[in-house]
Amino acid sequence: MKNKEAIHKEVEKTMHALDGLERAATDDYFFSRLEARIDNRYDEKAEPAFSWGIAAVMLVILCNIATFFYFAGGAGYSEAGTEEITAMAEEYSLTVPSVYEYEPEINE
Amino acid sequence: MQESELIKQLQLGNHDAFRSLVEEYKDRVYNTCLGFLRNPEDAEDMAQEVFMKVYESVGDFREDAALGTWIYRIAVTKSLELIRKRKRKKRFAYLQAFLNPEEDPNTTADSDFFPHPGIAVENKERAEILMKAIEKLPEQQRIAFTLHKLEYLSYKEIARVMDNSLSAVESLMHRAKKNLQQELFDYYQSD
Repeated sequence: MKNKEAIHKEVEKTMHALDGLERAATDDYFFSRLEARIDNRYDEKAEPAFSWGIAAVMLVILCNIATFFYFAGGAGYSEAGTEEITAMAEEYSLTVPSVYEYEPEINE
Repeated sequence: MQESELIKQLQLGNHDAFRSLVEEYKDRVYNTCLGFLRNPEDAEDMAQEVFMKVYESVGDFREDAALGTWIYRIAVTKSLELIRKRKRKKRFAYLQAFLNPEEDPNTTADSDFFPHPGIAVENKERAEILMKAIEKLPEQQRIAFTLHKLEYLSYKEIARVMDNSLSAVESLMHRAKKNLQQELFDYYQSD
């Protein structure tokens, strides 16, 4: 075991080990590096970041547009299709006769 | 340029004013960060972070404190934030190592001693022992002692940076010295 007095001397010497310490300095290019870093950060901020919210809204809008065009394209019946339906209705007597088409029977 | 004029120009986004501010404070900020982080790359990175914060927040700066005090405050806060983050990471690494013994926790960042460039050659060994003891101090004592020993700030200036009273700083310094003496005594006794 060391002498207490010797230890105290060591402690005191060590307590003063940082006395007279010179300030650490950066180099002359510190400001240039800082400027580049600031520019980079602002460039990053300027770029629109990907957002799930924006992506979801865009998807809904796209679905709406696609649905509109799909149904708008199929809404009109073609002439051939109409004729086909009329012929089938006549064949199965599905036509409703108009009052004006009614011909009364004449008893002779 | 007067400080109030410098602040006004900074708030107007004057590039030259910002440059002169950086040139004036860069070494103080770097030295403070180095005192806490003990790694030149981390200190450089942190000093840049400090000035970026100054650049972004100078618009909100109200002259309640001097510009230098405000900058020191940012440097101390940011350095301590990084230290806390690293400690959390280290604890997590140990936990991971405990759960997965094949992986070694990364302890190199804390085990390597970086000799401060301003330390005299004959004091390097003792400075290393003292720096390690300073790291063990409670946070408030560590801030006060580091600012006083590395930046030669007066107790009054430290009080302003720490937003504390002068008597509180005197008390912190007194306790810091006592704790360091005890820590060093134990070190030399067991040596």
